[in-house]
Amino acid sequence: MKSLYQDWFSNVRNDLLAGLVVALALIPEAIAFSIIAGVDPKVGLYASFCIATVIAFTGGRPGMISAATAAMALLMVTLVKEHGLQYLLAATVLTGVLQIIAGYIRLGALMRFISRSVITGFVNALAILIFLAQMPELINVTWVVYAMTAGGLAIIYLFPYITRAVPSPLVTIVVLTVVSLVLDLDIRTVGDMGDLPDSLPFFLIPDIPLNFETLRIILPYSLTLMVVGLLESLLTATIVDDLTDTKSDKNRECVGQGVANITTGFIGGMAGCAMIGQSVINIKSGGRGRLSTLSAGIYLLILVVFLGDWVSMIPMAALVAVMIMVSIGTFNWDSIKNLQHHPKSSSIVMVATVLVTVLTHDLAKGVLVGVLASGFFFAAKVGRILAVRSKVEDEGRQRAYVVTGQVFFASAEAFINAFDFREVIDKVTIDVSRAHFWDITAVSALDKVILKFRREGTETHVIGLNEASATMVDRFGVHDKPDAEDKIISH
Amino acid sequence: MNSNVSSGSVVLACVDQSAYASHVTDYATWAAKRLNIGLDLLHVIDRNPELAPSQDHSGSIGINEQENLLKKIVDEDERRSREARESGRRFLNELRLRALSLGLEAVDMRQRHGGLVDSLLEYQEGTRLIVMGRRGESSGTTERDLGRNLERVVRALNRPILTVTDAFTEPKRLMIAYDAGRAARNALDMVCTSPAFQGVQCSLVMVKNSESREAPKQLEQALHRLEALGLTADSHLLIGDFETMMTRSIKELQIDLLVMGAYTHSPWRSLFMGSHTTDLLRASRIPTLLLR
Repeated sequence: MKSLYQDWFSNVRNDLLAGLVVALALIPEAIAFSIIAGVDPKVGLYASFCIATVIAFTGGRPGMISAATAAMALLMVTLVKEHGLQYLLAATVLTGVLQIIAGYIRLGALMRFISRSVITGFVNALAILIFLAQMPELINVTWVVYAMTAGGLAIIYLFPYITRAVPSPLVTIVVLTVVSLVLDLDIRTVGDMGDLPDSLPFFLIPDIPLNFETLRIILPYSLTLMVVGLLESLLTATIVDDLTDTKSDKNRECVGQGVANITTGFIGGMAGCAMIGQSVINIKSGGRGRLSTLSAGIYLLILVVFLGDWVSMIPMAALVAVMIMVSIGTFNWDSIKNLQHHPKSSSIVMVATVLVTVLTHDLAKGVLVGVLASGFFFAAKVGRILAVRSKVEDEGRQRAYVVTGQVFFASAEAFINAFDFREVIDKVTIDVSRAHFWDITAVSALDKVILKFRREGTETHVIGLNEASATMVDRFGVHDKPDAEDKIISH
Repeated sequence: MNSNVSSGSVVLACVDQSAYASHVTDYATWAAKRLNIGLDLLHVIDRNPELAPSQDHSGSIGINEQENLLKKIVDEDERRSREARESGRRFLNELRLRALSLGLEAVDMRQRHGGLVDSLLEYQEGTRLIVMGRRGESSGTTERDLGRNLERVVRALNRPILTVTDAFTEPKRLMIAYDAGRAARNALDMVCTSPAFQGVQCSLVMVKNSESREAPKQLEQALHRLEALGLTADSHLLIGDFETMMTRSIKELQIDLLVMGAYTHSPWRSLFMGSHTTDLLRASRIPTLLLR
């Protein structure tokens, strides 16, 4: 009860105003990415309306904005091209179902394996994708379009110096539309891009054969859409958490995204997810509660359906300017400066994430590469925490090795190489009680060492293997045993 | 009575920087003296993260907007928290001196970050009685005549809560709003056993919508309990609307402390049907001790 009231009604005035500001940034994005995906603008606009309104109720992060997004649109291109809109709608519904499953099996917990560098790479890649998506409007066009876009950007960034009471993207759109109408400019407008919504959305079932063949076509798309949608949503949720210093329910967010996508699929909209840029705009404009998300969706629909004729006259240059702003605002500019200061490994992870994403247009692949790379680097780093010391005993006839540190797949070879098998001695003791054997590779490395010593005719004793291999259990956790923490630290 | 002086048990007075704070302190001091236990003054600094201070509707995001925005919001929060802490300390200290001057010996001050309910949940273990204003800082600006915190606090905690609105007058005549329900029986038990109410004239009042055969018997039993413990008590059975009858008899009997079971129904029911507790707390201005 308490949080229900708090989530909805504790910030009404600011939420309603912020919703309006956000709606203005949603329209260009929805139109731009419908075009990228190869569908009519109305598909993206219905989707944005539907996702925003549904997620306002079902989402786990109040104040976050979800709608049709760049990340998702780019994944649908080939599906639309090869199979058409109806398959996209079906894939959207399936994406939603998968996201609900992911929410219930708490897949969100996997987010902790995504490092800071991967997240920065993700954000930067997203910004670049949003920017690149504007290119069709900026290539092979007259100088008028460039002038209009530049003028639009100037208004967006300079108008706030005059007043911050009016959204500058709105001013840009209005001014550029008026200019193009008054001067009767021959440039592309929103109306040229395809159908705009002419009515309120209505329920429809995707017109596809319900068989295994259909599933085979849409499942791969839905899987990627699910992954990317949840990644961007959970990432954005964390950003909003940080900005507002409040907590979100990540698993509820996964389920909520799923419900929103299922609904949008059934009213003829494309899959979407949370949006970083628009969420930041929302917070900046004072949006905090669920009402901001809901009102953004409703304003969007009102604007498009009832002002549709006016919307169709908006020059594309105005929308391009707004999207360039979103792209600039999303990009993490500090990360470029940080390339010099941060460890090389994390810079490589970040750049790899960006490159793979931009080349494949698939954020899932970028993140996968980033996560794998950070895993490698981490293993390599931890593998260096290994020391094997030894001393001679019994007048050179015995040698005692003491192993400290982490022995696992990445350090197993270094472990083996640390022993001197050429030395002619009678007896060797290997004290591993102060080492951790993390996996099978570590144990077999030790076996190898023992075998090698035996072949030289050296008698071998291992001390403390039980303590060392306690870490091999899959569910190993320091919190399980009261004295485990001391043991780890004492090593 | 040994159990009443048990260590760690205090009267907790929730204060904010409103005019009600001194009334709250006065009543809390009275209760602490009567119960012979210490008094803690609690000031909760709530940043209200669900509220946005922003007036910026420019809707444009530039280079490193996320970082800049975060910095801006954090700076703002830092400034406000600091101010709240400093001025909170000052007014807490004033209230402490006030309680000390009223003859109380053990008065502590506490400041907590977070929401009121969460902070109270942390403290309720060592708390015997909570005293708070029915309205607070924000009530001047909002139109609500009952502070938005009250119902949430009462529902969340299992300690008796004394809610006050007006300046302190020493309670001489006490009324128990008695409906023979579980909460009301608890209220009766508490009045019977607590040293705070010794020597106070006690009226049992039961309001029914219509004639009932049970009611006189229940009231009789309750009255006997009070009298058996040596309290001077009388009982009244009234027919009619709860709120009207209660406010009328509070006036007629010159009651200056009301004891009642509170919010015995689910929050959903009180959302749609309204709640006796809320109605009465709005209608009357006398201090009211709420029990769950």
